[in-house]
Amino acid sequence: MNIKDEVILKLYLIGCSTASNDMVIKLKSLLDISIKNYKLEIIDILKHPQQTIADNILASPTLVKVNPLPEKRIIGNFPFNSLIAELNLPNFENKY
Amino acid sequence: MNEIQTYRILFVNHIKDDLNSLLKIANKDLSLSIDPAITTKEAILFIDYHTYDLVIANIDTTGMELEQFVNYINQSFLNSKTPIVLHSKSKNDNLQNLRNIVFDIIEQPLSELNIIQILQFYFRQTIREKAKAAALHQEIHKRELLGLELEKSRENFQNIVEKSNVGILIVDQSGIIRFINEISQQIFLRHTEELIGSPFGLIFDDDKITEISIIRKNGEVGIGEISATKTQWKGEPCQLILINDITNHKKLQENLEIAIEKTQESDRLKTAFLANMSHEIRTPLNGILGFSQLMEKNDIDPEKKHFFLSSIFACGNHLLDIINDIIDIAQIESGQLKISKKEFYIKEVLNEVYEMFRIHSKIISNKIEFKFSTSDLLNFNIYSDQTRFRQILANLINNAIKFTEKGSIEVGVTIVDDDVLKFYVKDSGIGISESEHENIFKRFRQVSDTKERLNEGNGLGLSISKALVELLGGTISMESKIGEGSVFYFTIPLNPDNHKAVPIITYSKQSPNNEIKIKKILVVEDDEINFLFIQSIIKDMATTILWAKDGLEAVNIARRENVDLVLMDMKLPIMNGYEATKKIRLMFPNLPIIAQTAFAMGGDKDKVMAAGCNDYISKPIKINDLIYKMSAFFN
Repeated sequence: MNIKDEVILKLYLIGCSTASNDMVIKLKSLLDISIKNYKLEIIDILKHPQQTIADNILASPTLVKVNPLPEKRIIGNFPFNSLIAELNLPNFENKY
Repeated sequence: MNEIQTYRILFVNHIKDDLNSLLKIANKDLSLSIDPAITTKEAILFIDYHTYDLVIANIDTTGMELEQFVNYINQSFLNSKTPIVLHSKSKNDNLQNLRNIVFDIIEQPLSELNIIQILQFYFRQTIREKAKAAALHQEIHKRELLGLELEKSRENFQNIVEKSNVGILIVDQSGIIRFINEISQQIFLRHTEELIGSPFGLIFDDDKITEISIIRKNGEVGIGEISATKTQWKGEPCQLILINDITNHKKLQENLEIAIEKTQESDRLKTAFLANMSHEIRTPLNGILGFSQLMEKNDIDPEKKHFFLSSIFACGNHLLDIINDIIDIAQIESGQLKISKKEFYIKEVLNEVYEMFRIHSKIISNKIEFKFSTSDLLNFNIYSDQTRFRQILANLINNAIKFTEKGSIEVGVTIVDDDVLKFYVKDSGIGISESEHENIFKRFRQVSDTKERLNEGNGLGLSISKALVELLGGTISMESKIGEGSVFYFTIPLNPDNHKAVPIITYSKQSPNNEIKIKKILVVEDDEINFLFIQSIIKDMATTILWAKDGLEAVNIARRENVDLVLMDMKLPIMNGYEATKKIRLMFPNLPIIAQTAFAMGGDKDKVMAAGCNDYISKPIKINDLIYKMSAFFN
């Protein structure tokens, strides 16, 4: 796969509450179904405050689509039904 | 009502017929007013004092050079732009260069008709222009007003946005911040310049309020309520995001909830404590009242009588323990519990405690095996509060006995780091479940607060013990498993002041001396039963017993009778015991006065000693204690 098309996502969260866990599980399963190859990095804001501030994250949860460009951020609850489209991600099902 | 508009005309002409033609017209049309000048010089005077709507000048009228005259008029009426119409009676090429600076040039003789034409042409034009100008002016004015309104409304709006205590952000379709208000800087702890143009993100829960965490620049995490709506910003579709920082509000709410919970818990515990206390007090009272009633019967055999009496005594002592516990906890709670440290021989105190429990019914009946191991190393004095130390150890052993139906109890001690004694009380009783460990030292707590408790006790013992251990500079802890028994540990510093063991002094306990005879004892007591009780204790020690029922009587008897000892109650009618003691002390500096009072709180002893008493005994009076204290003055 072209490096340009590689999907890289970062999810900034606080701690590991039930709500955070639910969000991660839901997001992962959605990505697993929809996208063939993706990288999802989960960053606990409390454990990595410096990185969070350096990355200019202002709220949690924030999902950042790092690649493909342009970068896009979603704050709060994700629109799970339309997330793939909102992030302009290449859809696995459509491709194959 | 519309005002009639008049037009003022300056008519510069030396020809009389021309003027007449104009005046004829003016007479018919009242809106025209004519100022005739027959020379240009005269015209200049008019011009200097008036403004005109139109100047009609004959080029042949003399006075000054024509071009100069026209220029003068134009200069004077620069603002009103008064039009000038020149006329010559015939075609004149010399006038061509003036065309640009005058309104019109008429090159034929003036007649009534062409004057009218001039006026019609000119005024139609003027009226139209004036109307246009007025409309324009009005429009300008209207726009100015509108602009002001707009400015005002913009200011108002800006004020609302800027001064709002809700963070307002506008982000474009890529989630880039385009606008923020003042408070947003405080919410994120970032400056406007840092925020504008930087990515924030988009929110997909349209019009719904979502709770999020706010990440501040200093790494602090706050709590915010966020909502977003679609809007336009500078003609572009954008998201208007509102953030309400509720961090403090949340903290307050949490604190409030904790406080409410604590209050409820404390309330519940107090209620449980009262119910428990009531039961605890009633049980021994029941014994006392019940056995007393049985004693009233005449035909009781001595063995039974002895049993009844010892039961009453035991119940009374039990009641006293409960009351002492309540007083202790009240003093601990109010921070008034005082520790009085002195040197004492630790082994002796341990022996006393052993003796105290050796005769406990559960131990004497072999239900519980009681192992009490003291080390030979303990052959020294320690510097601590003897009474409180004994109380701690007794509390823990009592507790162990209470929760052990059958099994063993082991008490022991080790020396840690040369300067701390570590005691343990181990039982093989019911044990304490792990969930209870945290609460076990809290006041009013007992293993399971259930109604069907098997175990007696007011639930104060352990919390008192903890407070006492800490006051003596030690720590208390426990290990326990349900069904396997418990071990309680506590430490006592040997000699916290200089860390050295104090050399042994021989410990000898004086036995009460019944042999002593005192000649005259004054008993000050307002309650007859109490007096009779004291009388029965001291009757063998005294030759004469005098009785005063109040303070004043006591002072009088003391003055009269030359008594050898006073037993002084403190709460008395007419004059209280403190006053009476002070008065008697003034008269007899060396007379022994022993206070006997039911005020058993810690500070009471200091108070009676300050009043002048030599010693103090608290009610209920223990016979041996009283005899012992009295004999001390006559040995």
